[in-house]
Amino acid sequence: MEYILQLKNVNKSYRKTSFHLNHISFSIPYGAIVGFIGENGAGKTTTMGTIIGTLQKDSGSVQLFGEEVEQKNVALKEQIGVVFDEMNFAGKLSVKQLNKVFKRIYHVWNEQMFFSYVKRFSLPLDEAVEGFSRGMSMKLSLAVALSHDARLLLLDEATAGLDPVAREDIIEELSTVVEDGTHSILLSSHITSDLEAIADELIFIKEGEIVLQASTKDVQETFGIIHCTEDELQHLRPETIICTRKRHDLLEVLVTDTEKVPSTMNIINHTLDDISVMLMKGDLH
Amino acid sequence: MSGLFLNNYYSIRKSTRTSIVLACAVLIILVLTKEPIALRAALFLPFLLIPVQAFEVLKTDALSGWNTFEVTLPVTRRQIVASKYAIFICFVAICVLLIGTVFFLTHMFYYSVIDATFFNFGLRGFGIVCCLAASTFPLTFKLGTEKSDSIMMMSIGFTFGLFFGLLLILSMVLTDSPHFDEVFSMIFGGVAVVCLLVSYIVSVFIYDRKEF
Repeated sequence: MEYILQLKNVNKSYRKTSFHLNHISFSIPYGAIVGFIGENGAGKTTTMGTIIGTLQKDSGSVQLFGEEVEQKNVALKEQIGVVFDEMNFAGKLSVKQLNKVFKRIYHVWNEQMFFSYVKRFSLPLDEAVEGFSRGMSMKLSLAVALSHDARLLLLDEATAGLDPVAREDIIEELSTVVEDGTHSILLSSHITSDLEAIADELIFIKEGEIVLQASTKDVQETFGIIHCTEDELQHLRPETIICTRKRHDLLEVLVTDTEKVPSTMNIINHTLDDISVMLMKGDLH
Repeated sequence: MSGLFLNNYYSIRKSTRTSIVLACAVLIILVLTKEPIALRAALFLPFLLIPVQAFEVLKTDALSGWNTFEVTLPVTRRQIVASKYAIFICFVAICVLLIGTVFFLTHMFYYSVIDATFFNFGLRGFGIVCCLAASTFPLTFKLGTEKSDSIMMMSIGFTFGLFFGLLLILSMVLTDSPHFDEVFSMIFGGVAVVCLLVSYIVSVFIYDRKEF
């Protein structure tokens, strides 16, 4: 399978904190939307930073379209669209002025497409962007990211703090981006319902380490959380256990395949949030 | 790089316009007074009012997060640094043009102002603002805009340290020179340009390793 983005054993540490990325490896296939889940400080933004070049990795490899990502590889950066959790444009500029700026930066800047997004998102053309609401800001950031034919979109908490309507607008737009199978999206978010709605794959990160990468379908349909006692735990196949968590007198166990769980055990209905909490708070096997 | 330059310009356009209008008004008023001290101030003030707007770009970049977004764009970090220096140089050129025009017109139609003082103080004003930029840019890239007050103090210290240090050295070397002022002004202006070039190289080095 060909991947649009591949990270292999990426390590990153900071001088002033003990937090570090520990051998981060994952891949994003063409045409996929991948959700990146983890609690605050888990390493989502650091991982994104090593991909887009705002941070310098200590070791490991980040490949985009099979080519190693390097600071000076300007052509590769043309292919990446980035949306941060805040709008990162100078506040005094208007949408029209931003268009003039990006027209001179991107070789493949599609002015017509940019203004069509601006129109679709009902953004004012001549107002300084510093006056935009959070929803408008995120829509503008997305319009910029989508208007230079970026084949990989990286969105870092881009839907956080948005009202449901704005979130839906953005989610809908993202779904159409990957339809042709040549574009991919890595979307980090706390809002698991957004990811459930559009992500094909999910990557969970905890304390700087990838703890799970699985398809959304598997997580929703074959993964399961069961309640059992310490004794009952022995009856589970070890290879199916992802993590356990003590809850009162019982154990909560996250398993990869509920079909392989003995029928006497109590399988509880789960959401992506439940899986996420289990992975973040539980003990990994 | 033109896109980066344009973004820099747009982000400080209003304050730049205001500073140009203010510099223009102050320059004309000072020149019209015919006072020697006012003429000297007229040669300094535009340099202290207009090019310093280029330092504001660094603040607005950090405040809006554009400096983080900028490194994800298809430009090299060297181009990013170059765009900051380019807007500064552009503002210095505006100052030179403004001072030159006002003094030329005054000289042609009012009274004689283009003399040794014009060149000496013009060069010194140019040198001072170049020295300020030479220290402000790399220090801001290294320490961040949140330390802007300390950076400004350090830059002023560096600039006047260099100015008076050079003055002291030359006064010891050129004891009896009748053209001391001219020689000092030219050497100071030249040293300031060299400092700015060195500063650019240092800034590129710092920015290449900077994390956001």
